[in-house]
Order: sequence, then C-alpha cells, then structure tokens
Amino acid sequence: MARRYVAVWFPFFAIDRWRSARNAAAPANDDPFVLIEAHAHGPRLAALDARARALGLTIGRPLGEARALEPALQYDWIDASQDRATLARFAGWAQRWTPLAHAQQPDGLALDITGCAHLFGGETHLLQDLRARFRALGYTTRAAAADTPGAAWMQVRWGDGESIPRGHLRLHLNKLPVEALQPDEATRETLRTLGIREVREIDALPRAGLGARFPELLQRLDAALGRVPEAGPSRRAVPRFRTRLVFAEPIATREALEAALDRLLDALSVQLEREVRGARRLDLTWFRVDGSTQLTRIDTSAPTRSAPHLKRLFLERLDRVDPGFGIDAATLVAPATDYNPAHQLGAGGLLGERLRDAAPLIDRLQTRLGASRVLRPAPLDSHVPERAASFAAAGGAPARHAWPVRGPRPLLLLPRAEPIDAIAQVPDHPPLRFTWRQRTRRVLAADGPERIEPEWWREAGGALDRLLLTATRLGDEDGDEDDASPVAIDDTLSPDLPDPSLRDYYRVQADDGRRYWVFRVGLYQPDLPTRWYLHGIFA
Amino acid sequence: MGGSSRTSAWSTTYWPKRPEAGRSMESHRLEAALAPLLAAGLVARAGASAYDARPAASPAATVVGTGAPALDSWLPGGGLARAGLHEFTGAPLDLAPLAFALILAGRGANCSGAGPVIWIRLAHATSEHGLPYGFGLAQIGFDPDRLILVDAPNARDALWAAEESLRASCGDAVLLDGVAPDLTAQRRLLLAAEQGEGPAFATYAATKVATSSAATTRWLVTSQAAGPDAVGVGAPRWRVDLERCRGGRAGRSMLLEWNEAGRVLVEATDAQLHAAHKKQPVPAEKLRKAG
Repeated sequence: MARRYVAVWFPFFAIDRWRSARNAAAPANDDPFVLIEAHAHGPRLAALDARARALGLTIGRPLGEARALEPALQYDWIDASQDRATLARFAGWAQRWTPLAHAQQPDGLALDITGCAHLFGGETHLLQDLRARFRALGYTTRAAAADTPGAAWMQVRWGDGESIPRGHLRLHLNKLPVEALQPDEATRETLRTLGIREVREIDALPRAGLGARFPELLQRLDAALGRVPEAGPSRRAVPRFRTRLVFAEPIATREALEAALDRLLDALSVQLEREVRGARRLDLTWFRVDGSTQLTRIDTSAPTRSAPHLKRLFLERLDRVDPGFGIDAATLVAPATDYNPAHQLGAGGLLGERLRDAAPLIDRLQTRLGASRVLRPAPLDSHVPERAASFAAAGGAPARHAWPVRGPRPLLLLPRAEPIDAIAQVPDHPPLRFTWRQRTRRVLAADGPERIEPEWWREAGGALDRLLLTATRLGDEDGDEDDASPVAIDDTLSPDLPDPSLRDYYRVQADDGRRYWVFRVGLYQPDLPTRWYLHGIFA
Repeated sequence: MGGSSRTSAWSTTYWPKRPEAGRSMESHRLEAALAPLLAAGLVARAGASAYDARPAASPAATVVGTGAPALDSWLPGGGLARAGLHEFTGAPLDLAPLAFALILAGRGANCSGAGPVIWIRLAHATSEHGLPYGFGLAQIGFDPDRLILVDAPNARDALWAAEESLRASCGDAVLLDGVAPDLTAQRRLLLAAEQGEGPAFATYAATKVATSSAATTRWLVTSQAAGPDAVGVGAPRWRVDLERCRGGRAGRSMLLEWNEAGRVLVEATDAQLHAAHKKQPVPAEKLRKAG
C-alpha cells in the first residue's frame, strides 16, 4: 500500500498557546506581539506573530533593538516547558485520526495516515477536519499530505502548504527553496556563492562531483523523495485489536459513556473471537473537544473476550473519567492479548459440575482494590522463615507449589520479629516467662529448639542481600494510583537483630492459652548480647 | 442511576442488583445456530460465556461437615449450612476462631475437587497480628495453594469483596477476618451466600458481638492448653461454644483437638477435659525435657 504522511505546522505555536492559556483573542489594536526569552546580554525575541514578522523582525534579535524599530511592540515571556507539554498533548490527541502521531518539537506534528484516510471521507476531508479542529482551539495550522514524512515537512514550511498528490513528489519538491533542506551556516554560504537557490538545482548536481560537497542536503533530499528509507523516530507498533467510535455530538453524561463502552466492547470482542484471542489489558481512550485525552485502563488475570465481564470491570473505573466540555471520539485498544480458545462449560445441569474459574472474581477484586491487594502465597527457595514464603498478585490459574515441611510453623508470621523480654535458664532452655506488648505471660510448655542457621552465602548487608531484596519486591510496574505498598513478609527484621543470624526457635504454650513462636539469637556469638524475639503465633 | 430503594451503606457506585448477563454478538450467532436444538430440548441454555454462566443446581452437599461427628450432630442438616453465615468469635489476638474457621473452610470441597478459598482481611491487621504463613496453613490441613488473600483497605471494601466473592460462587468458602458485620451486612452476606452457594465465615473479636444477629450459627472459640500427658506443647486444642444456632439448640460446648496426623478434629476425652480445666503449672522436668 502506498504510504501517506501528514505534516502539521503551527507557524505561531508559542503565541497561540500563550493566547489560549489566557483566553485572549487577537488584540483589537494592530500592535505586533512577540515572546521573549532571557539571554546573557538581555532578552531576545523567541516567537513572533504575523505582524511582527511583517515588520521584518527575526528570532534571536535583542528586544531592545526590536523596540527601537517598533516602539509599539508588545511582549511577554515565553514558557518553553508549557509549549513542549502542550505539543505533546496535541500529539496524543492527534491519535483520534491515526494511532501513529507524534510531536516534532518545537512546532509540528507528524502523522502517518496510511490506510486511515478513508475513515474520514478521504484525505482532503481529513485535513479539513484537522485544520478546523485546531482553529477551534485557537491555533493557526498548515497541514499537507505527501508520500514521505520529509516531503510533507518541507511542503508545509517552505512550500505552498498544499498536499502533494501521489507520485508527484519530485515535481513539487523541486520548486522549494534550498533552505527547505536545512543547510547549516557554512553550507548556506557555499550555496549562496554558487548561486544555488532551489532544490531543483541540488537535485541536478552530479553526485560524484559537486554534489559530494553537500552530503547532508542530498541525504535529506533522498529521504524526502523516497529513494532511501527515512530514519525517523522509532515507530510504535500499531495494535492489532482496535475499535474506534466517533460521536456526532460531544457526549458528557455517564449513560452516554456506558453506551459507547457497550458498542466498543462488542466490536472488539468480535475481533478477538476471529483470532481466537483474549485480552489481558485494555486501554480505552476518550478524546475530548479541548484537545486532551483521558485514559481508562483495566488489566485481567486471565485472557478474556467476554463483553459483559469486561464491561463490569470498566464500570468500576468509569467514575474517574472527566469529560470536560465533551468527548467526541473514543478508541478501545487491546495492547496485550493471549491465546484463548473457547472451552466447554459443564453441560447445564446434566453433570452437576460447578464452575471453578476464579479469574473473573479476581479481575473484579483487582480492578476495584488494586492488583497488589489480591494475592496468592508462594514458597520461595529459602529455609529462613521470613524469606521462605511470599505473596504474589493472584493470577487466573492457581499454581501448584511444593510446600516443604520443616518443623512446626505458625499460622501468622509477624512482618518484623518483635523483641520480647524473656527469662530463661541458661544455657539453652526455653523461656520461663516473657513479656510481649506490655503483657507478661508464663510459659507452661515448650517445644524445641529448632535451629535455623543463617544462609552461609549471604553476608550481612551485602550486595547479594540488596539484589535479592529488589528481586522479591512485589508491585505493579505501571504504578497504579490505588495500589498500596506491596504485601510481603518483610525482609528487614528489627533493627538491632543481626542479619543473618543463628536462631533457636521454640514453640511455647503460654498461660493465656495461646501458642507463640519465639527465638533466641546471640547465645553462641560472644560479641552479641543474647536476645529473644517473637516471630509468629500458632493456631 | 440504577440503584435500589435500600440505601447502600457501602459504596455509591455499587450496584446492588446483579447485572443481567449481556447478550453479545457471540450469543446471537450461537443462538441462531442452535435454535433447532434448543427447540427440541436437546440443548440447555447456560449463559453467553464462561464468565456469565450461573452455576447449575448441583446435587453437591448443602452442608459442610466439620469432621467431628459429635459436633455435626448439634447442627441441623449434619453440618454447617452452605447458604449461611457462620461467625466465629474469640478473645482479641487469639487465633483460635481463625484456625477453626480455616479448618472448616478447607473442608468445603465438593465433587469437582478443592476450589479456592477467599480470605479477606484488613490491611492494618498485618502489622498487628502478622501475615498468613503458607507453611503454617499446611499444618492445620489447609492447602496454601487454594488461598486467595484479599487485603482490604477498610471495612467497607472488605464487605464488598466478601459479597462479590460469595456471589461469584467460584470458591469453596469465603472467610471475612477482622470485620464484625452489623445486622444489615449480615443479611446481605446471607443473601449473597444463598445466591452463590458458598458458606460465609466471619471471624472477629468477641467484644463486638451484637445482641441482634442474623447469622446462621455463631461460635465462641478459645485456645486451651494441651492435656497433661502431652509431650511439650502438644496438639492445638480449642474449646468451642455454640452460642447461636438457627434451627438447632445453642449453648453447648466441646473441647476439640486438632490431630495433625489424621488431619481431622477430634473430641478431647473426659480425662483430658478435666485436667485441661485445672491448668496446673507444668513441672520443671517437662520444660527441661523439651529443651
């Protein structure tokens, strides 16, 4: 398929953004307006409006000079970071026309409209729609389509801003001035000396001869003419499963959003069914009329294409969508999918089986509470009690683990072993009495000791510790807002507990009827005081 | 916006009515293809997809046996009703009600095998009591791979999660830990348990027991020391008091011991009962023997 690219240029981007940020129309008087930026020897011009340009002012001239030329000049400071952010936001919003849209700082957008122009009634209508929408936001634009991104870029800035028809690249580009190829200062001097003014002349130069003096210009020309592939910014892969909905009028009510969601989900599940796949993640982007987007994202624990289930998950998140002045388009994309064959259910009431699939429930709980709050336990490869087990975000299918039996283990393990005051007969008897959380308990019976040796391959606080600490940290890599800190049996014990440490564990029966798991450190290490800790509570 | 007349105490966006199964384009085509078979009665409708199918009325057990026949004889139906809310209370920081509830939850498997058990607890309980430990769960006969732990930030979310889990009816039991449901919440949990066919268990401190309750059964479980002839600490023992039983006689009490070898609860015999009540200090030889 022949590719088509659109380049959008905002001739007065910074000025337009400044005006729209202040909700100010062009001033009634005819004073020229500029934006200035700070420089070592005084402010210089950074952006000009049409009148200032007509006066002959250029970017980079000192403000004092400009004011001397035109005393009625109005000016204000430029905000470059806001400009960059707004352009990036527009690039995201331009995805309403095509998913491949990115910003060309400081004042342009590049869109790849291969194969999607027909959705807008043709290329001309697409460009008209684009210009009209930006004009409604208060931005002057020039937009043109061409066969290569470079050609489109040159055409909007240096040409007449009209689209180049297919196959007529050379004809149109040859008419452009040589500045369109972005020569640097020295090259420009050379070109002036040689009397080369138009691209046509550069194109006609013999490559081996004079042309060898302008390698970058020739490279850009070749890329623009499509002779060599253009090295542009890396492309994002277009997702295979994507549906789009454009509304005749902007919508803002919850019912309308839900109706749009219904239609999008139905269309997407048909697409998924055709390819026998299920979605693991869905991104629903709402395009607002004011040039910004809102994203609703859900993740599932097992691939699914069931529209009712996905709708239920989306409804949880729909509250956070702020329609602003209205939403006029929406796209639903499945960036992550998995193979999901249809499976047979139990045959009604004939066999009497109960559906055991916990994935929909896990999805709903995770969507509402956060992925790090619905967990399954898993054993780890360690015999040290606090490192032997951890929790991971629940996946759809349960995993089968081997839980090796080592000794009596408590039902609940404290995240940090708490120090207790204990009285015990020396040298290695269990405690007779201990105080925990301000209550003294007498020990009626005790089992043990169970000696847990430290892992010899670790040094205290060594690099291996830190590495393993990072590896066992759980959490969502996207950083969902509603995720609390991950739930894990904390790897760091009490601060005064040497780690790793040799511990003797006892299971004690206290006089309040409960059984505790206590341990002692330091008996066989002469440089450490002997201390007792409580680590867990038994059933 | 689709609410019922009862004010939901939990969430403004919570939909009290169960949403009806959507008719997606898949089901339309499927129905068209199966129309002759449906008419002939050879095919029964089960739902548009795996995610919408309601569980069929299976001939599975409607009660969960406790494993101790004497205990089962107290309860109507010979066990804990599946369509019911069973509460286990105990002293604060006592794990006895939790352990008892876990053992019973682990017994809720039906004919298609052991399914997941959903344990919902509050986030701040972790710093107070600790995290569930997989190895410890295995030692009271509960397979840790069956556990789905839900860490709810507050009581409202915990109750929502409990109701969702019961309605989904994909688990063997739902255990709500640390939240004392009030009368409205109890009724909602009961309704969810009836619709979803899974027993609902709730454990909380005995201080929060309300006078009026809608629970099917309520138990008071306290930890007891092992008998005098036990070596060392011995097997865990609990005294269970049936405080409330709908359809049965309440006010009975029993001493139970967890037999790890047989993975079953057994009733402690009378001789042990007597000695356990006395709670004598264990002589010093016992301690040294353990060390």
